Order: sequence, then C-alpha cells, then structure tokens
Amino acid sequence: MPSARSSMLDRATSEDRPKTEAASDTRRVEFRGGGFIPSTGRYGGWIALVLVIALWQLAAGTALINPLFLPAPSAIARAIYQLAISGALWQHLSYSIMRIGVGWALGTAAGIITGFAIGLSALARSVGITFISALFPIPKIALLPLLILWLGIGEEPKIATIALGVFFSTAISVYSGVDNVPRNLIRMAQSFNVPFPTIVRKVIWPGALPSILAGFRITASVALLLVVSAEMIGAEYGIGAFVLQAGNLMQTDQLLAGVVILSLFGLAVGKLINLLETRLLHWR
Amino acid sequence: MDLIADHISHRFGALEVLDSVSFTVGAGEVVAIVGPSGCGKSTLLSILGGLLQPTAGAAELRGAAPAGSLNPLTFVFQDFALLPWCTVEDNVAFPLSHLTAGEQRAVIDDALRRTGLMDFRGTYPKQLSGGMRQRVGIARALAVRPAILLMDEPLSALDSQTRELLMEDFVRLLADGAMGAVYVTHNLEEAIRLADRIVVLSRRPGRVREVVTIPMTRGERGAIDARGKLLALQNELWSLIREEAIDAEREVQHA
Repeated sequence: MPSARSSMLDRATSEDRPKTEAASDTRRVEFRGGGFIPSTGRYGGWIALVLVIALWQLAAGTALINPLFLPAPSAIARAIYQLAISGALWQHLSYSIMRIGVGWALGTAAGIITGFAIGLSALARSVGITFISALFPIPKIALLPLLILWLGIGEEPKIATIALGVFFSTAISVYSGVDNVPRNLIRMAQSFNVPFPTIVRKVIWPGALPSILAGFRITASVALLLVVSAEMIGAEYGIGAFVLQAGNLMQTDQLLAGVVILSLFGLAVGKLINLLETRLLHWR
Repeated sequence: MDLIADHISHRFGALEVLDSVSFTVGAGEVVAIVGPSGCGKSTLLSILGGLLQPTAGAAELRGAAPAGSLNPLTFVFQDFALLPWCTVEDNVAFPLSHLTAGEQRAVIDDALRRTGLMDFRGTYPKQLSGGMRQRVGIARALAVRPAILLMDEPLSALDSQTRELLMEDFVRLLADGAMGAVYVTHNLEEAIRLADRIVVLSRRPGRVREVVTIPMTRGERGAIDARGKLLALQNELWSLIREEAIDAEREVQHA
C-alpha cells in the first residue's frame, strides 16, 4: 500500500518486459537508419595512392608505356634525389618560396585591410565592391607583361602578380567573414557600451577568422599557380622555370619531379593551414 | 533609477510596429511585457535599451544610476549572445575591459558565484547546456551591476525543466529589489511569477492595451495556496490576449 507522502504518484524503479501471449509474435524492429554518413578511413587514401604508384611502376616496367611520355615513379624519385644532392632543388625552391612568401604576405595584408574596410565602412563598401567586382575576374597572369613594363624584369613583377592574385581573394573572404559575424554578438557588445576598436578586435576579428582562414587555403593555391605561371614566362630560377626548361629538353622525369615537388609544397602549405585552424579555431 | 517609455512609436518601412507605447519601470520594479506574436515586444525592448532609434517618442531615464553600476541598462538575450571563442570567464569579463585586472577578478568571481558557475570558468560555450549558457549571459549582465535588466524572452530557447530552474534563479536575483527588470515573454506563467506589473500589448501595431498589477509579492507567489489565484490571473490575462493571438497567428501564416 503506498504511503501517504507518495500517494499521488504510482512509482516503480523499473518496468518489466510486457508479457506476450505467444513468443512467436515477437520480432526485433529492423534497423533502417544506416548510410548517408560517409567517413574517411585513416589509411584508405594512402593505400590507394601506394597502389596507383605500384601499378604505374609495374606498367612502366613493361614496354606498354614509353618512358619519354610517362617515366616510372622510380625514375621521378631518382630525378628528385639528383636534384636534391646537386643543390639545384633548393636553388629553384628557394626562389619560388621567396616569391610566394613575399607576394602572399603583401597581398594578404592589403586584402585583410581592404576586406575589413569594406566590411565596416559604408563608403569603403560602395567603392571597394565595385572595384573588386570589376577587377577580380581578370586572370592576374595576363597583367604580368604590363607589370614587367611598370616594374622592370626583376622579381617585382612576379611578386606583384602573386600579390594581386592573393589580394582579391583575401579581400572577398575577409569582408564575407565580417558580414557573417552574427549581428547578435555585435548588438550584445554595443549594449555593454564596448568601444568600436574593442568590438573589432574581440568580436569581429575572431568571428571572421574561419572565413579568413578558408580564404588562406584558396590564396595559397592561387599563389602557387601564379608563381609557376610567372616563372614560366620570365625567370631563370624557380620551380616553374625548372619545369618549363625540363619540358623544352624533353626531360620528362625532371619535369614530373618538378610537378611532384609542387604537389608536396601545396600539401605542406595545406597542413600548415590545418595547424593554424586547429590552433586558432579550437572553439568551434 | 526609473526607465520611461514615452509615447514610443516605430515602423519598419511601411510596417507600423509600435504605436505610442508609454509606461514607467520604477526602481527595483519588474515589468513584464506580453502580447500576441509580432506585436513589437522585442522591438520595444531594443528601443528601451538604446539599440534601436524609435520613429517617434523616446526612452528616458530618470534619476541617477546606483553607485558602482557600470551599465545601468543591461540586456539578457534570448539566444544568450555568448562569444563562442571565449571561455565562461572571458565572456563575463568582456564588458569589463576598462577595469584593472584585480577589479575584474573580484567582479567576475562574484558574478560566477551568484550564478553557480564557479566550476565552469574555463569552459567554452559549446561545452555547456542551454541553461548553463543562459547562466553565463546572466553572470555577464550581473557583472556590470545593472539598475535594470532588459530580458528578451530569456527562457524561450530552453527546455521546460531548465526554464523552471532559471526562473527560480531570476526570482532569487530580483528578490532584494536592488535591480529592476523589463521582461519580454510569450509565456504568461513566467510573467505572473516574476513581474510586479504586466504590460499587455495589442496586436501589431502594438499599443498598451492594459497594465495588470500582480496583487501579491514574489515571495507569496511561491506558496501552494497562491497557485489558484495565480492560475485565475493567468486565465484572465489569456482571455485578454487570446482573440488577438489567433488573429496574429493567422496574419503570420498568411504573410
């Protein structure tokens, strides 16, 4: 009999399995919720890559593929090794890294300033978006001859080409990021009378950072593309110049060595941006 | 310090949202604003808090802010408005950047202690439940020692059990009358439990339809024998709003 204190509630600590008249009527509910959540295996990609290289190597060992058109992976590895020990690899790579580094840094700095100005000022927005819309679609490499005319035949026009390519993408990603900062956070800051510079520093900058870092990923690829193109047009040293030179001499193993180095460089930059994202966006 | 809504009207383009709304929130008084959906409750609160310029009329303050108040009119937001990249402690510290480190520490400790967040100071918002996030929002508001809290449906994003717990917190925080509040809500039960007076707005454009005074103290409302009276009050309020709420809902559906 329930006590007076708990008289309103019919309480039990567990419920028995309902009794069934015939056990044969009982069946388990079928699971229907699988699939549609693709996940990447930890080693799947690497295994596939090794398999493709192995098949390529095997095919190159037969007479089916002319090594002039597609040298074996081992020949490409050998070419990279020879480039490394001769010092030529570092020489070419250092020129490319310097051009990318300076061009990317200049373009990024200008892009961030412009993007923030567009994101925060009505005047800068009305002027800036018009210019960006008009100039962004121009392939920046097409401007290289003009830049050579303006800046001479040294490093400046190549760096300027990269900076221009990086600038527009950065500016767009920055002002998109500023636009996407939740308005409720800005209103919250205003409701506490937080000064404008503090709102920019503590609300808008971190709020726009995911978009800015996504922009970095794009501009790193743009910079790589432009440095190779610029070096193919007018440079003695650099990975682009090396690839072009190897192609002209039909040294396809050297050419593909250059391509592999570019790929590795791109991967390294991607990893660096991943690291930055992990460090700066840990709150997501 | 009193907060006065003086014939506040507002329109968004051609849409008239508020029409000459006037009332006063006295020092330490809790005023709830209720009304059908879309009647301009949140717009009114934004105007009262200085986040929106009214088309006509004004929000005014009368009297000096209490000593030590860093932000006399302070919002508690429906969506918490926490900085996701800041820890609980940094969120509470956000409006205190002009204080010295020592002053900040003392204020933050006090606000976290009052809201039961002392053990969560290094936690990020994404790691907290909705109720705990709103507690951070309340701690941030308490840290600036407001004269009047402007609460925009602060419990509407929470489940019913968390709402109940936070309502108990609000009753406790407002018990000493040191702080007043304007409490915008759809929930008549919340309004009756917390408010000294309830301003009932008509459907859009919102006008003050009635101001209802709750005839008992907040302490008395917690008693079991007060339940019947509170329920009767709630039914009375609902009868004031019901027809217009139905019209407003149809209006929203047809919009």
